[in-house]
Parts: sequence; structure tokens; C-alpha cells
Amino acid sequence: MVRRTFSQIERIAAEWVARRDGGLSKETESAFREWLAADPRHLGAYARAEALLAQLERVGAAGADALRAGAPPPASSSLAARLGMTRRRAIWGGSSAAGLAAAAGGLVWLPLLTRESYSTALGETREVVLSDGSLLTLNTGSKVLIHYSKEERRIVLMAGEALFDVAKNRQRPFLVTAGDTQIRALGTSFTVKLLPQEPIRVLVREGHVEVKRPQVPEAAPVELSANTIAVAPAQAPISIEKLTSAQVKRDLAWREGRIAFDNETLAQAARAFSRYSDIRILVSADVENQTVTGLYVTNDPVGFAKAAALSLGLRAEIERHEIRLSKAEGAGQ
Amino acid sequence: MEIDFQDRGRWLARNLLPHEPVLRARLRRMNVYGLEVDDVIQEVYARIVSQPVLDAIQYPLQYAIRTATAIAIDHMRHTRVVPINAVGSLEQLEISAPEASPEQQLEFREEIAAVNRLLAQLPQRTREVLLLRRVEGISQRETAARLGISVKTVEKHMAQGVAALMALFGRGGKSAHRTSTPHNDIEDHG
Repeated sequence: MVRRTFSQIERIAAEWVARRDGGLSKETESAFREWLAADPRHLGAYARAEALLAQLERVGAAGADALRAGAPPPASSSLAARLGMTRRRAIWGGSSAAGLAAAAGGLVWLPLLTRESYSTALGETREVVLSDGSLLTLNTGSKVLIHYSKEERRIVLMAGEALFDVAKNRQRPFLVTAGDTQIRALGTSFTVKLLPQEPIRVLVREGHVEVKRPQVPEAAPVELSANTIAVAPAQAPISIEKLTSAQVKRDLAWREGRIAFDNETLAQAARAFSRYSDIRILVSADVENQTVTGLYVTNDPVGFAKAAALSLGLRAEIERHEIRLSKAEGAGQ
Repeated sequence: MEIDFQDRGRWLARNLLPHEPVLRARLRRMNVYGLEVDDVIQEVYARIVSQPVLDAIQYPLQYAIRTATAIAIDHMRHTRVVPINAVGSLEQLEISAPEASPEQQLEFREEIAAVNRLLAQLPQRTREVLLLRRVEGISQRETAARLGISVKTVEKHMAQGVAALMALFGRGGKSAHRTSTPHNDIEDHG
């Protein structure tokens, strides 16, 4: 067999990336697997191709923002934002950014890179400084869209959980939409959580926010002050609960990659961990109401399961994608 | 093993790709007879991507250099051609392999500039396809509709773009753009 050169392999790997990009039939997928297995360099070239695309995604998502951090946008940027195409000039206006722009050659693609949406993968958290100086922190598996205009700062939480540390600006209200719920803030700090099959939650850490749901007649608008959480279940009034600052701190432990439980049931804890990784914790029915307290690492469900098993005297069966917690054998009733 | 390439690709993009220029420089210096740098690079990616747990790799550059060394040794055993200086140079490869100093590793800012430079060398359509699919994240079909081309053509541009990224990234080291070699055979669409 003729040994292919690395560049021939690269070309074939690129073909496979393109074909798989559109989705493969079963037979083609198995042809792909065969090709991968035929030579380690095939696998290597393919992995490198995927890495290059991942780099493009990473830089694309953060690139425009990182550049902006080096060169504060001129005052006209919000106006430019509304005009779309001219926006890049505003962003690339600063001197250091201009240097990079020059290095980049033609700038045709920049409007695409300056799109503003931020997202995180499973288990990832991310901080982004927005153009007005507000700080956005995204928890695992989350996505937001940013629509800033001269009059208002509008953000849509598409999924997951985000903390907003809002820069004060009375002339430009800060509005967050999550599902059917709208949150309006001036200078403040709050989180919004939008998880499947759960009511929307708004937690205020500092300042005041207003929460309303225009399409839900039974839910009157509410105003929240610091250390308050609002829970907005579907088609029902918004309920408000006062929290201690310790509880608020615990609720924000995810920013440090931690997850905090205070007398949560194992079932609740398992669900909390499921947001951060693919490893599922399955809790058998006879122990699911036992409770746990403590601070754990979000991306270490195995560590959590071991600790829980040890402290509650349970049996933990750990497999690659699954951890089962059940009553220890011979543990009596 | 079923490999989740998207997930592993993200890890590689963060932990291996930025080190590739350094790794290449080391391999070139090692200069083992009959050993093509790019072959080794491909094998390094292959070995690393097949590791059961990537996050167990704490020092990716060190790990990559060790992997490359192992590949070079395999190669020499296999071909039984051992250059006189091979042993010495292999040690050299492995010595001073602490984790990359900040200057060695591509900084994220540099990475942005590097990606921009790569994009600048692609034909405009190809670049648009890559960005729409991977940065905007819209479907192949929608990409086709937006650009007014067929899905098949989108796929062609994708293959071309990926091939170009692979051919351009890391080759000639990270200072290549400063030495202004006349490699601009692809016309500038700016």
C-alpha cells in the first residue's frame, strides 16, 4: 500500500469534516470510522481539523469582545450597533485594535465576528465584560443574546443561568427577558435562571429590579430588593421569598465552580449535578429523600457521590456515564 | 472507542493547538532522519485524542513533547536508522520541557490575530461559509440559503476552508508573518 503524505491525509480529513458537518448516513458514518481506523495519522489529522474549527468558534465567540477590551469603544458604538454593517468601524476604532485589524488583512468578515451572543458548554462558566461595562457571568449550558441600543440595554436569556452585574446608567435601562418574564434593572446585581421544566427564577443580590410577565394576567409585576428571590411558575402569580446573604452566596457558588447544598434531598442534588456534566447520578427511590449539606465541585459528580455515600452510609456504583446511589447491602431496615 | 470529536476538538483547541508552534520547532530541531514533522504532529493528535480522559493531562505541552518523543523513538526502532546525534537530540527535546512560558504559548489575543490572519487568506465565500456554520452556528441549509448557493457547494467550501486552515496553521512557526515571505498566492479579498 502506498503511504499517503500528511497533506493528502489532511485533504481527506477536511472532506470528512465537511461531509459529517451536514450529517452522515449510517453507511457513510461507518466508512468514516473505517477510514479513521486505517492509520493513526488519519485520526490525528481529523482531530486537528476539529480543533481548528473549535478554535475558530472560540475566537469567533470571544474575539470581538476581547479586542474591544483592549480598545474601549467610542461613544458612537451603540448607534453603530443599530446600523449593523458600520459597527465594525466603531469596534476597531481604537489604536491597538486597529493594529490587529491591519494584521488581519481584509476585514470583510468582521460584521460576522461582532455578533453578540454568548454561550457556555456543559460544565463551563464564563465571564464577559459587555460594552457598557456591565459584567455578565454565564453558568453551565447557558446562552444569551445581547441587543444594545442607544435607549436601552436588552438581553435575552435563551437558556441556563446568568448573573448580571449591571453598570449604572439611568438613561439606559437594563432589560432582561427570559421566557415570558421581563426583568428591568438600573445599577444592580442579579441572576436569572431558565431551566427546562422549572419556573423562572430571579435572584437579586444588590439594588432593585422589577419583574413582570405581560402575557400572564394572573401575575402582577413585583419589585425585588437585595437578597430576594422571585419564582415565576407558568400561568401563576410570581412568588417572592426573602433570603439570607449566606443563602444568596450559596446560590452563586457556581461562579467558583462550586455547587452548594443545604439540606437538599439526594434527588435534588442529582438534578443539580446533571446541569454540569453528562454523568448521571441515579438515586434509588428508598434513599432519594435523604439530605446532603456541603460544598462540592460542579464538574466532579463522582466526588460528590463518594462523599454522599460515605456520609450517609450508601452504596455508590460508579460507571463511566452513570453513578448509582442506593441503600448499602446489609444496612438493615 | 467512540470519540466525541466536537467535545475533544474544544479541548485540543484550548490545550494543544496553541502549543503546536513550539512543538513543531522542537521537532524540527530534533531532525530525525526520515521523520516528517507533520507526520509526527498528526500522530501526536491521534494519541492524545484517544486518551480516555483528556482532563487528566495537566501539562499539555509537556505531554505533547513526551508523546512526540515516543513517536520518534518508535520510528527509529521501526526503521533501524538511528542517526548519530539522535539520542542526544531526543534528550534535548525532553530536557527543559517545563510548561510553556507565557511567551512560548500563543496568547489568546495572539490567537485571535492568528485566526484573523488565517481567515484573511481564504477566498471570501469559503470564509463566509466557515463563519456562518461555525461562528454563527446556523445550519448548512440556512447557510446555503443566505449565500444563495447549494448545500453541496456549502459542503465544498467547508472542505476547502478546513483544508486551508490545516495547511496554514502552525507551518513556518508563529513568526512567519513577520518575516514577510511572499506566500500571498491567494488574492486578498479585503
